[in-house]
Amino acid sequence: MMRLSTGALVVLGAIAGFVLLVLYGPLFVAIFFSFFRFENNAVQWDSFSFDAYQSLMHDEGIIDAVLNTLLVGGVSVSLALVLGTALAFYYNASRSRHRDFLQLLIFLPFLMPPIITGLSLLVFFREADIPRSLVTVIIGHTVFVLALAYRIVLTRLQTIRASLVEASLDLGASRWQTFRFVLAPSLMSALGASAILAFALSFDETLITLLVTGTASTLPMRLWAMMRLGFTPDINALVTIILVGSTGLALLAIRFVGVAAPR
Amino acid sequence: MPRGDGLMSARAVEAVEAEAGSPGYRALITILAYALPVAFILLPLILFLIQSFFYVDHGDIVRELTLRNYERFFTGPAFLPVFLKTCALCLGVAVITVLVGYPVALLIASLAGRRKYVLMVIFVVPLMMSYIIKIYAIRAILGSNGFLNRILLFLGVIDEPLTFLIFNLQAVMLTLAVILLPFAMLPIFIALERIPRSLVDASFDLGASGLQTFRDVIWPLSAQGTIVGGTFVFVLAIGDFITPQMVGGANGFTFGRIIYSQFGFAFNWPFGAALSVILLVAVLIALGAGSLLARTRHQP
Amino acid sequence: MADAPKTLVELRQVTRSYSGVEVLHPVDLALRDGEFMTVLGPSGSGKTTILRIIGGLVRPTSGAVLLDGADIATMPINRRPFNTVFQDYALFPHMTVEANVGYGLRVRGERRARIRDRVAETLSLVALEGFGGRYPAQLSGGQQQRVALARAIICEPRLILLDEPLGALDAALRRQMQQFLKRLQKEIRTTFLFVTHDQEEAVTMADRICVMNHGRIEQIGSPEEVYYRPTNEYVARFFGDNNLIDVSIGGVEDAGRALAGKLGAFHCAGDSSSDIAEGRPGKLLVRPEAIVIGGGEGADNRVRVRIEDVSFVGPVSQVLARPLADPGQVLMVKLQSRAAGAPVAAGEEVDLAWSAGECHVVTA
Repeated sequence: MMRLSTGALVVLGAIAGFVLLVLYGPLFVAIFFSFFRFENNAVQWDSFSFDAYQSLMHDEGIIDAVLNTLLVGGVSVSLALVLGTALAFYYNASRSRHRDFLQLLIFLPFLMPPIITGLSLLVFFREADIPRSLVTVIIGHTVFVLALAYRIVLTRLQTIRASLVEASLDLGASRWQTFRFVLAPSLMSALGASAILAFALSFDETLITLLVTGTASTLPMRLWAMMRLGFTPDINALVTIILVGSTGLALLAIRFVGVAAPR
Repeated sequence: MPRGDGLMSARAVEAVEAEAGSPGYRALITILAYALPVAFILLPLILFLIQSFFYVDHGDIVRELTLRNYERFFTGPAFLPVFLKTCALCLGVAVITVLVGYPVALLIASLAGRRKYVLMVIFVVPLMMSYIIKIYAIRAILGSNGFLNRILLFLGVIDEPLTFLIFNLQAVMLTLAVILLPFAMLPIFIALERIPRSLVDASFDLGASGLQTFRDVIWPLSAQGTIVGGTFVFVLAIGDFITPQMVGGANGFTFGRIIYSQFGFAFNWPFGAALSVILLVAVLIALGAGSLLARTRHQP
Repeated sequence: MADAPKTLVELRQVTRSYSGVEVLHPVDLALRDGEFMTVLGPSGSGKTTILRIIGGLVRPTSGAVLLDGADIATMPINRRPFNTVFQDYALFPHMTVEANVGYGLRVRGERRARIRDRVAETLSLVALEGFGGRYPAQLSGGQQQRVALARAIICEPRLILLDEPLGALDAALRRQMQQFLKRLQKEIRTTFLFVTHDQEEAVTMADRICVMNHGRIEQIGSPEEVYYRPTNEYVARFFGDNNLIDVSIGGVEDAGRALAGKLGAFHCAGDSSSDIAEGRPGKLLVRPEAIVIGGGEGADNRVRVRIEDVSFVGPVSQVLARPLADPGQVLMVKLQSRAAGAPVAAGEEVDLAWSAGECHVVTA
């Protein structure tokens, strides 16, 4: 865009530094206190240990929560990818005016505050007599991440030159063969990017989950419940593990999206 | 969406559609496409809307259409003031995030090559980091038994823990601002990135100073993205009920929390639904105002 | 030109490197006050870099940029009395035509009334009266182009830099704009530096052409000079369809130089070869329109050929022929087309002839 003058660079740099401190400072504090204890108004430097992490391993509630989170993420991401791809193809191929209505529907859960999405599903499940469980959580997450998968696939689909499809059909390929040999390969990176991003979203989803879940807990909910009781090294340890996981996922996603982004 | 000639839009579609078969086949495809989005997105919303016109009598939902929930919102002593206060709070969050996010986005956009993207990643990664954890960490710092207070006590700056740091609306506003900042930055950054370098060159070439170039070229061309970022933050902030509960305490009562409580211990779903509809109206107004503002700021 | 032309801008030993790679080798260029110079070269030849160095968008890695004899290499872009017409026009999309054109005056703090008058004047100069209230997106490519031009000339800069400004226009509009630019330049008496990769455009518009290749200036001269008297093989090949014949340079004779090659002995008049040492290899240049088919008993130069192909390309017909002495080479002849058809047909054996004054020698 432009080069900044030195003066502007210094001022903006100072603001950026402050923002980084605010964004990351709290997280580092949490990580720090997963290893050290804070007693008598001082950091106990000799208290370094992995005790907090070990006690997590024996907490069945947390292990359950981790498994639930992975299950919900895996299933809802898969569903959203299949459905999102199909809908992207439909939108791309449809010439009717009502396709924009369909698109709006898909985007709605992403655009509305999560509390609305969650509550409307809650009411729907009760009216339909579907008991709240992990199944309803999966439905909630699928609805939520569908927009993302749909959008990424559609964007990629629209950058594929029409002549490629025409050339394939012209050379005698069937529509299935055209999909298999021409479209699918160039969609793979978009699908990968969607999968990672959607999984990261699902992994962290709290508001909708809280409203549609039954007795089963996902990791953010488990964490929330623990946090109401106060601060313990255990929580800091769990926080650290989740942070490492979601940061890794985020970096992976950004890398993937960077590669997948059409130039 | 782009509908350039060379793209996989109408042209290829014609080719595919030419052999797509009978109208019946196409109708079937359309029905399949609509089935799930209608069942799991549209239908719940409609049911939800209808629910807001029911009412509760002795703990049972009465399925009769009435406006009494909406009446209660406007006539009850607490609801409207909390709603307005929440709107003001979220507007504050949007303003803070934009005021802080814009300079940072400007800085990042002005960098060259690899450094730019590395820095953007650093600022965007927190966006994907656990939301609950961020609240927790901020609370651990600001709380009366928190890190900041302990340090200040240790240093002798204060004699007893500061209590105004947490469990009030200011704490909610700041926490939401920290959590939502990357959401504001991203659209601003994208808008700045889209400004062609040659426009800035042209402005300098015609004799403008750096400030003049910012005022006349960069700001007008990034205002739309800034408004989008602010709107985005407002929408995300207004529906939140966990942050206010965690850092707002008894003094941090927001509209989101009132709605949530109707589905929790108050167990008045119809009234909660009505309040949600009002929240949705506020969101729609915000989105509409945002796009209106963005449009008047730009060319016809 | 009656007066001795005054130098406006001069580049002295200017270079530019990007991450260690030199894209502009030491370049010397003097721009005369009031001239229309085109910088011509293929993409990557360094022509845009030269323009951006003069405009202040790029700093030279070494060397001096002089304006009226004073070094301006570190003068910031917004202080230079030059304005640029950008390749993509760089019109501010959020400003009307009027605001775009008046921008340079506005940032200089001119009074509003004066800006309004000057904008109106300038818009009429580029034939856009009445378009002031529109936005760039509502204009055609040619109109946008003229807005960019108006915006660049309104501050009365000493020099106007044009970076392939006609590249996005279709052929007809392009020709029209070339005429227009030329006229405008005469009218406002400002120096123009015009970068292009189109040799026809460069020749049509320029007082002088600067031919560039691989970050070096190959030749600077009037269009006639670079067309008829190229100083090296690159320029000779770049301008049109010169026939290039391998020769070795012989001694000086009455008419000019004696040359010898696979195709026989040639005689070349003119001064181009006068400072070339005897015995060196060189290339003989003949323009295809200078060659006469058949006859020419008394011609200075003659080659016996077999006609390979005759093709009609509108006003001229193009004849391709292979010399009998060296069938691996192809010579091209351009004839004015006639309704009666070409005087030769494929397969015929004829003589090609040209006079000593119509050819030119460069060292290989």
